[in-house]
Amino acid sequence: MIGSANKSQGTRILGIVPSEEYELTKINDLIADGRPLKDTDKNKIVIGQSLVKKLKLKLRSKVVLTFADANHEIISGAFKVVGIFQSYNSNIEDKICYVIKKDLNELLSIGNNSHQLAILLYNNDDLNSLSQQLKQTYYENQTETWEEISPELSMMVNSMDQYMVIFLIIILLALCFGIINTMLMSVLERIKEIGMLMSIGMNKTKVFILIMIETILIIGLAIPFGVLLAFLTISYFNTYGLDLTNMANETFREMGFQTIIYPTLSYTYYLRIIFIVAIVSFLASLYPAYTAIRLNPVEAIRKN
Amino acid sequence: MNSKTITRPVIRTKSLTKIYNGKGIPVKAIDNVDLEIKKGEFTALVGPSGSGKTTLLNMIGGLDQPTSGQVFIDEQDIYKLNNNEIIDFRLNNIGFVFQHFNLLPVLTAKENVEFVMLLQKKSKNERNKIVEWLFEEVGLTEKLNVRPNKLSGGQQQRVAVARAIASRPQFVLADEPTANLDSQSAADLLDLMTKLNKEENMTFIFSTHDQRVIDRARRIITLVDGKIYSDILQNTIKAY
Repeated sequence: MIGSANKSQGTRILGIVPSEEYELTKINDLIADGRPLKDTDKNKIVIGQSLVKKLKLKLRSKVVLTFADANHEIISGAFKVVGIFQSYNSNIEDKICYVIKKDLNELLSIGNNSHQLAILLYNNDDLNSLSQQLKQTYYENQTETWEEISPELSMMVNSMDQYMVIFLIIILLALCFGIINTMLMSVLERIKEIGMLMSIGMNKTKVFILIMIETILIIGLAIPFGVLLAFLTISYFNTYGLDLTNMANETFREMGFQTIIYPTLSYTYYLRIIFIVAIVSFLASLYPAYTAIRLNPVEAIRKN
Repeated sequence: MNSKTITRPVIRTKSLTKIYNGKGIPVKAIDNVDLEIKKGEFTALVGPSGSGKTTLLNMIGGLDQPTSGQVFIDEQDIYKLNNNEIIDFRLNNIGFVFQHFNLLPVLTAKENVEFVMLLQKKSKNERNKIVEWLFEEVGLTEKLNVRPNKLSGGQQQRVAVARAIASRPQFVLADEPTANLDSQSAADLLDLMTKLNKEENMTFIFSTHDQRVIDRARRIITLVDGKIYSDILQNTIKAY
């Protein structure tokens, strides 16, 4: 429980090692007033903005934290507010406050013990294998993945992945029709030319290769341009963020999401997209090339 | 050259027939035509519209499959060849001159002529030599690197003639080559083709309505309703 001179409220008190915590939660980036906690602080506290309003606090105000220690005895400690954070997640802002782990452990009389250890992976694909490994090795402790802690978030991420696949299919279909349309127009506009080429001795294989080479040249120009455009767009929003505050501020906050999105796209994703686009474009050009080789030179030459 | 080689026909058709199924009604465009054309002939196919001149030319050129009958080029029945073989045969044995020139607009005059030799996989040296000779022959040496849209109709048709003979074909088929040309250009073109016929012994077969072409031809074959109506050779009428 956290109490001010005016009011008290239930809360979660997290004892952190600031330098390590900031690597993971970036809570230091959310400080709206004051400063984040430092490793060297003593009896200092950082609390959320909405809690500040409820308890009518300000910077340098004193608060009293009351809780049960390891022996189930009620103990209290006084802390000074050094920082106020504003979170994109209203639940965190209201229900969590941060103190130095060492201060909390002293009050709890639990030495240097920790209750929670967070592991941040470079690659989410390693999540399940590592979790299984930890569960087997440290079976007396509880190991949970972020998906188990927040299944609704996991479901949302999975749904987004599926949406992405659907979007990708729609975009690739549009690309497919675009290529077919472009190349078909290119063939139909040059029926007479192609008819003449076939008349003077250009065989069907060469006509087919000609259309395919033209498509490859178009793709060869379009892909680098498209990738560069995507890279620049993503880099811009990665730096300056895509602000959705006006669209869904409260909804996002309640769900624990930031309203400013900083998109990233891995290089492997770029490569995968380039490969898929190249294959789809290649397949899409088969039909126009097939149309070209089916032309009858006599009829083609007569076309106006 | 012995006399046997001289008299051997370069083109021979046997009972050549083409029937089109226009609107469900069969129309005989070419009706049982037997024809022989020898090396070095300068022949005009004449006749009213719809008499079958272009159809006969297309069938001789391996462009249009006959309904029945055969076309022999140098005693090779060309319609016994498969699709790709017939295209290769055209490339190496037949030159085409079209009514509307049909030059590739994105290529220069030189590239248009060179293109057919590229298809024949001739070396750059050989191509350059032939191009030089051809442009001298057609009188366009100063227009080598000019695109077709910068050339007059007559000049374009001369480039088309150069393209037709660049592959060193056995004969050249020309479908109404003077139809889109003014009198002077048509006369120049005919001078050129007459010269190539006389000096290079090149075989030309025209389909034409143009009296100027007919006057220059040494053999005039008149088609009526798909049949040979007359075959005039050096003022001699050969009756059919």
